[in-house]
Amino acid sequence: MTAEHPVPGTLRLVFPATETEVRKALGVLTSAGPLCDLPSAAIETAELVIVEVLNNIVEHAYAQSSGEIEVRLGHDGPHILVEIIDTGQPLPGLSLPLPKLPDTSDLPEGGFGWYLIRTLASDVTYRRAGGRNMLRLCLPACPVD
Amino acid sequence: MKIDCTSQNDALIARVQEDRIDAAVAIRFKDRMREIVTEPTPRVVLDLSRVAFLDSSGLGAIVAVMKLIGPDRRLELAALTPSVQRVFRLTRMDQIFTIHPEAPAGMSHDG
Repeated sequence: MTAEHPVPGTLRLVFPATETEVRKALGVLTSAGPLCDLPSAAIETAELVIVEVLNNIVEHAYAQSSGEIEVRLGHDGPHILVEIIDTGQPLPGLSLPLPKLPDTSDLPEGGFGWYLIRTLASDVTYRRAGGRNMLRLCLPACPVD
Repeated sequence: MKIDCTSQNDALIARVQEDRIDAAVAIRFKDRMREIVTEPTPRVVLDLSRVAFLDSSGLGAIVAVMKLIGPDRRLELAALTPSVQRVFRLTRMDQIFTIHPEAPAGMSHDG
């Protein structure tokens, strides 16, 4: 795992796409760079959104292969900009899944990830280019619900 | 995955001794709970007071345990930290579980 600060206030982290490395990466991302000085509730929101994106990449994009994930964090006024890049399989239909909450009465064991991402983050965009998936989103630098 | 287990009256109390239930431990959590709930008590209470972080994989694992213990027994949750409580609220899964504000009396970590 490598962490770099190319310019002040930004953080770039590259790590293997495994569940264990994702956990370690979250530890780095929340204790350095743009996130570490935020109120704890904003850090919790950021951690939850980012972990849901990373879990999806490990579970789906790299379901048939292994590879790396790159996370870039930066400041933009009252927001934290997040860019997450992988070279796994593209999202189905080359588009973001609908942020639909599963029917709780069915006792769902999954399908919450994109709902949490789209509920807690703003300006979520997805682009596939040059064999890479690029997901961008904004997170609040102040706590919200 | 460390989960301590004690019996109290009609309930089995399972206390998660880890600060995260995420994708990295979701399967181990389910496996350990599967061992724990073989004891046929009417109630199973999961004490989450030490869990500071839960992702949707962890949430899914808790739902899986609820299904595992069968239709005659309900999985109850206790002592959710604010961050964990928020995941349950955002996904509306707080409506599915009985959630106790505190761990069962006499069962706290310090007592």
